[in-house]
Amino acid sequence: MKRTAYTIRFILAILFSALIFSARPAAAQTETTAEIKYAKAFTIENRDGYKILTVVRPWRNADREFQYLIVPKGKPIPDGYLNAQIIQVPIEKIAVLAATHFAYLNRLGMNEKLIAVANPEYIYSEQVHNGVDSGTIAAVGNGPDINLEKLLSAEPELTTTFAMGKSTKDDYQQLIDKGIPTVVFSDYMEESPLGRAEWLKVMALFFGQEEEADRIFADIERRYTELVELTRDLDKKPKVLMGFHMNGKWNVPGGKSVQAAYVRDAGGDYLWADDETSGRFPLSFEAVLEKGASADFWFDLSLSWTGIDDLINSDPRYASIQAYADRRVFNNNLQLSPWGANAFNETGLVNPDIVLSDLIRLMHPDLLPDHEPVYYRNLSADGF
Amino acid sequence: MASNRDDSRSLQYPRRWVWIVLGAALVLCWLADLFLGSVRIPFQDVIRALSGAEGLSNNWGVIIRDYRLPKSIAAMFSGAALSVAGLQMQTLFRNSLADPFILGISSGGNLGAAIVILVGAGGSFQFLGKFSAIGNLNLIAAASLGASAVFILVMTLSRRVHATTLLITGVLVSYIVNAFVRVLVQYASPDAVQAYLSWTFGSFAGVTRERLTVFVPVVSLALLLSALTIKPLNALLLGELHARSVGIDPSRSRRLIILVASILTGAVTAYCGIIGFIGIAVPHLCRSLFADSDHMVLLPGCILVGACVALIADMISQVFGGAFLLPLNSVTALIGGPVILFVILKKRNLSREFDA
Amino acid sequence: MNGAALNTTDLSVGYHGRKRTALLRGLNLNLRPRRLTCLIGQNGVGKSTLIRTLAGLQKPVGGAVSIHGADLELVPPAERARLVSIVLPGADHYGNLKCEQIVQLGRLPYANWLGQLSLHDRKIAADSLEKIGASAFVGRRFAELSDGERQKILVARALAQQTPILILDEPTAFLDWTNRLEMLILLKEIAFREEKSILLSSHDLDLVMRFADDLWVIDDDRAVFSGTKTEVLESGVLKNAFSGKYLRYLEDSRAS
Repeated sequence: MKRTAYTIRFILAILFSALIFSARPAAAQTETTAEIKYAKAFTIENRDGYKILTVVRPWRNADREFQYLIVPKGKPIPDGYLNAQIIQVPIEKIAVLAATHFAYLNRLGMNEKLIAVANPEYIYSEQVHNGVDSGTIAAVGNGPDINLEKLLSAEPELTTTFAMGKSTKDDYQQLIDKGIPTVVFSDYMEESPLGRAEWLKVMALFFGQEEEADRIFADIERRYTELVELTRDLDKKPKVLMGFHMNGKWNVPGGKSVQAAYVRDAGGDYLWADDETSGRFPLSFEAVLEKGASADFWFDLSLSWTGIDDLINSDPRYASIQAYADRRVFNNNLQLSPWGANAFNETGLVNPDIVLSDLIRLMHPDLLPDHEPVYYRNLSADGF
Repeated sequence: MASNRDDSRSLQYPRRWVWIVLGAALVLCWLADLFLGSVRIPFQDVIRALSGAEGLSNNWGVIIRDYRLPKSIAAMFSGAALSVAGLQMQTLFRNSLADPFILGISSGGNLGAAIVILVGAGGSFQFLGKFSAIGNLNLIAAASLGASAVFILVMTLSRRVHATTLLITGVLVSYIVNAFVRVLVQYASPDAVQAYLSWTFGSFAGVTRERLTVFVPVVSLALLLSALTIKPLNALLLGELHARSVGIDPSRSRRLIILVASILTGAVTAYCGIIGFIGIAVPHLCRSLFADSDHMVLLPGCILVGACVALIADMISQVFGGAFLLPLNSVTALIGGPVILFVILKKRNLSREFDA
Repeated sequence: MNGAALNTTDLSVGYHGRKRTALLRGLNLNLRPRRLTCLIGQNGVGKSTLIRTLAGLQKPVGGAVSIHGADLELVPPAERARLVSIVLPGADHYGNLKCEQIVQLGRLPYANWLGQLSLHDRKIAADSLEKIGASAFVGRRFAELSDGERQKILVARALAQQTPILILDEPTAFLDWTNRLEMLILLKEIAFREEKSILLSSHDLDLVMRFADDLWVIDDDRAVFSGTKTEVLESGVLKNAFSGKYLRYLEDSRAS
């Protein structure tokens, strides 16, 4: 039932995009499509003198796309793109309204272009933290409830934001109306770690850093696929549980989520690998207790838990999970900033190879004996 | 006169079997809540788990003893507490639509708890962990304090406004309180926000055995104290002046009722979040069931019926969603909503009926 | 003085708003046992305020009310409930009690901490219903009764309270003529037989003149005169009450 609906929607989407393509101005002979291998939420087309960035899945079940023309400063702006926003590059001043966007900026070495952020307390970078404190970087509120006045007075040439498809909550339209080119990032829609990291290529467009991004990403991809090769032929794959419960509700990462992909690629057997959800789905605590009883490893718990006592004080029933008895509980918050931001959500996003190395080191220590975990801490002990 | 006494005796008889049926229903609901859940566990294994047998497969022992058992006890006590608080508020305000949720008293409890959790625990939402038994008591105290603050505010307003307007002021008060809570949440960490949101949905499942050791005594004590409110509540049925004329001190009784109802609401809110509709629906169910407004009957009736309704709501939220969970508040709204509609339709004109 | 059950000394009654407002001042009244005392005066002149103050439901603005020599303000509420009972007009009943349950509410001052009644209490409540001729209402819902029937039940409730002083605010307001007569005959009988002091307010002079032993008259200038019926008639105070509507009583009494 659900799948049929999905299929219909998919077909409709194809028909719809076919319509869009056919309505486009006659394609120039120099038209090429940039190679995007893993990411599914955006496309980049190279045209003569400009590029087209299309965010095709701006949010879950979205019924619209966002199109951007990336035009080098001083070059003519092509006609015929009524619904596209124009971004003249390279830009010098960018505002990012989500911590993950900063991760891409930082990885490209472009963080001096940052002039405004939302929710600075979620950003791990000490540089940004200090910038906000000293006033060189404007803190513009809590996305998506942003402080528009502050943002406007920072005069960004470009703003990146995210949207949920709820007109009352989303801020992109408001920003566009105020004349700020606004890119709706949907990196969280990607289902693979490499797909997420590939959004580097989107950020690179704004600074003329395409080649650098391609180089960085190729490196990441090479290392990641080599690591996957390491675990491919393992016959013993430990069972893995992820997450924690709140008031009896356990938000389980779906079988098609990035987290599930990491576990699979690291040679683990995720307990809900057969599930078709790409986000999370709620299960009752007892359902997880039953299935998770035999879990060998347990990853990704509450952000604030840094020791095994935090787990047990929160709910002593966690003790009945096998991974707890075996002391194989690992949280991804080894690098927590003093203000509570987690590097895993920032640098981890653009270093999927390191995250994967961590997980392989934890589940199959003999495969990577020399790797010291960068993001994961053993909750049962301080360090390893 | 002889006939008179016969009458009063004949009135006792149908009551007796109602009590027996209710008692049996409670036991049945409780057992059903233990036997049913999103995980299917064979009957014999539930019995074995309850009798303390170790070594059951798939964590079944833990699921029954540490998950379903405390959850069912939390449900029973919460249902009883909210229903009694609702009954007390309905009589005190002489308003059939009064209850902790509608008058914003739960929101007050919410605020109290949120302050302890967000501010008291160093700015991070530590509701899920790091709370000792004393921390738990703090939480209950704060939630009760928040509940009584709103209660007193609503009480003061109730002397100045029309009964129907009171319901609107209740909604407004909860808006204001919720706005304040949202401000607190703005300054909390992301997992705090997540935890807070899940908490507002209401759930009995977050109550562990350890938390029961605080929750159950506090609620039991408040329920025992509520016996003291029976006499003033009955006297208030004929209005405040009449209550005074039979020797009840209305302001003292009001203070007692506010205290008891606030502890009941605060304790439930602190542990199970905001749970709507039980407080309003159960007293009405009891009135129809017993065809009486005597609080000597209604109060214990509300305890039993409230416990049953909460258990049933928990069962529905656990079982009917399959492995998924239905939000408890949606279930209580589905049960309670029709009761409220029925009351409104029966009374037709609220403003006329409740004009005190 | 003179064995009065209730007396007032320099009593002023009125409102306790932001500013105290006295409606009636300097009252020195005596309510005597075995007598039916009627408080008369035009609507709005302050009868209900006086009645609530005498019953201890409202604080005096000045002076004091004493029952058997004790200042009513100092009597604990539970004890006061065994001294004075009251019937208020237009009782708004919240809920769905039966008539006998309403009457049993009158026994609350004698009930235990839970409000439980003994068999003895139930019998007294049943007796009160019978005295008022309302035994037939047993089992019926109070809310379903007519205004007149409700009034009877409320009187029975006050009787069940078994107090030496019984105060009724406009007990005949909703009754038809026959029922009014019945009610007053009954109250007079009770006052005599049970040695109660009964005070009732009314603006129905015709009725009151037939049954009252003592009269308290509030005239149109809010001056209060008290005395036996004869004393009142002879004083001519009625000339200045009820906007002169009842002047013929003066003629009648002179004629007789």
